[in-house]
Amino acid sequence: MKQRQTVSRQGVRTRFFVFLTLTVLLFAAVLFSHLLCPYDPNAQNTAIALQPPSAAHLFGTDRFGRDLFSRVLVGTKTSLLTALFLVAVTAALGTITGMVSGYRGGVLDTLLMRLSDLCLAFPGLLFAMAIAAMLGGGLKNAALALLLTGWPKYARLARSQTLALKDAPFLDACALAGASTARLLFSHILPNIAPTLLVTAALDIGTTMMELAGLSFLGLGAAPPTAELGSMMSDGRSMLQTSPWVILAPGLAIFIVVSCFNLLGDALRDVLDPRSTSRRFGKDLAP
Amino acid sequence: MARYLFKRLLELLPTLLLITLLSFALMRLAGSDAVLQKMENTGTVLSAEELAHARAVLGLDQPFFVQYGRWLFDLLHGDLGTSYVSGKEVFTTLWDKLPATLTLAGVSLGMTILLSVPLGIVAAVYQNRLPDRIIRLFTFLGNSLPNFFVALLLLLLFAIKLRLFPVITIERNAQSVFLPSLTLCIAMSSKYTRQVRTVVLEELGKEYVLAATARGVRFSTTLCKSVLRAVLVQLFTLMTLSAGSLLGGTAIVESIFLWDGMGKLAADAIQMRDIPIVQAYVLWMAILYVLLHLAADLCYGLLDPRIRLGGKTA
Repeated sequence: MKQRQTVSRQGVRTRFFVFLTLTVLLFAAVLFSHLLCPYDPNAQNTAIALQPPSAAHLFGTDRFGRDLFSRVLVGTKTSLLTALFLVAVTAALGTITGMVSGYRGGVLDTLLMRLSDLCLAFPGLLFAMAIAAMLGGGLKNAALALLLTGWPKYARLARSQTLALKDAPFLDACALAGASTARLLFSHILPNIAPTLLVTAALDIGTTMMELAGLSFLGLGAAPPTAELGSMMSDGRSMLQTSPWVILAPGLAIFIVVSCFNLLGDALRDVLDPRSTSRRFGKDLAP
Repeated sequence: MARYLFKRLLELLPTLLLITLLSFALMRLAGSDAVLQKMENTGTVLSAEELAHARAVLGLDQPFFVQYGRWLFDLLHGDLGTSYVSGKEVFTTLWDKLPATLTLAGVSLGMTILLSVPLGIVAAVYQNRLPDRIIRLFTFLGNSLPNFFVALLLLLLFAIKLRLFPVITIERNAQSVFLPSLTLCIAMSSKYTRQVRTVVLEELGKEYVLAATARGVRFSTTLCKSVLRAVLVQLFTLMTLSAGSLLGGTAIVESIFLWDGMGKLAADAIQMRDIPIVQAYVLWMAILYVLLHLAADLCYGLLDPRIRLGGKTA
């Protein structure tokens, strides 16, 4: 039985590294997209508008004759980088709030948790839509809207984990040795609760990308000249019947990127799953 | 029971009050008010004095909380103001669209349950075997496709290529409700199937299942009579939680299929910056969401005698 468990742990780890490599490759391709683009993504040429996919234009062209392959590459960069940045900020903000709230307790805790209740009372995407609508369109406002709806999840997770850890003897020992609250929180509590939060964040990247694209699709995200996957699809809506590739190309790009991050997130969860290993994060990843 | 309900409703009051405050603040965030909007819509140009006068008439020169108080007072009397665009009352506008959205939400929720509960159970029972792998592949696909892309793909396939369903769904009938509900159902059931699978797997790992098998009870009997009954509460909770994402998801799907419901109304209102409509929509949805959670909490007691009311129900 024990033998079998080790083998499956090895498999889990291999899977994780395969997906990690895949994601890194994808990320590199997106990051250096300006070098890979065969055409200028914003160059218009109405003479070749709405051409189906061909050897010259891999994904075809849109109604302004712009090369869709180049636009998808650049658009993926916009969507992915925004989503990554947004998830990082949301997770950091939520985690810090949750840790402080859980560690301090008292009035501060009640206040912060009420605030998160309030943010959770509005269905996420809907609230984001309303905020983005009020602040006016633009990728920045769409991201801000998603930040406001996203942080409570991390705050609650970090809080419950901090609460579970708060009375552990090693923390008392640290406090007796003279460690400051900040040091306790960031050097001792954070490493212990990081795995769960990391998995949540990894699985959130895909969802965030889809939500951002959704907001752009409704005209609440990136402004027209910027290539962004959601707004590209919104652009192609009226041409669904005659030139479906205008929608299929960015749609498939979203699908591929989101799949990649979801697979990575799942694999990461399996690697870090506390139920299958008693070892802490960090040591477990070492070969 | 009545006392418990009263207590819960009382606890809801601050939350509801904060929701209204936030909805009201949203309107102020917009940086524009009714007077400016009306001016833009009618195309007239007013002098600064005329603007100030119009604001004074509408009470827009009062402090924030005074305005909020008046707005709340009107709200409690069912007056949500009038739309900037159509000039009609917001309340009746939304109320007229409610049945369409409820139909859509209801049908897709029904489809989701019919699809994902059996699939989740099958996946759990056949863990890591072929049926489980196939089901997991599909839930993975559903989770990685944005719902507007699914909607467009379905339109392309069923409405344009196969011509089985109408592209635009102005009339409400069984045929027109199918594609929009299917879109919502695909996204929801991918999540829900996974959750059902996890919950059932956890229950199957408990010792009583092993004990029943050891005593020769048929597996299907254990599954139907014990396991399913035990996981009912958790499934119910998960479902109420997914109702929230359903409410948010309807806006995009309704506007793609031109389904004449509240979601499309809100999406259109956002485009035209018709703030009273957006505000009222957000408010309604938030209140509905909170009430759904309350209903779920109340139902726990009925489904699971261990968490009967009064005691510490976390």
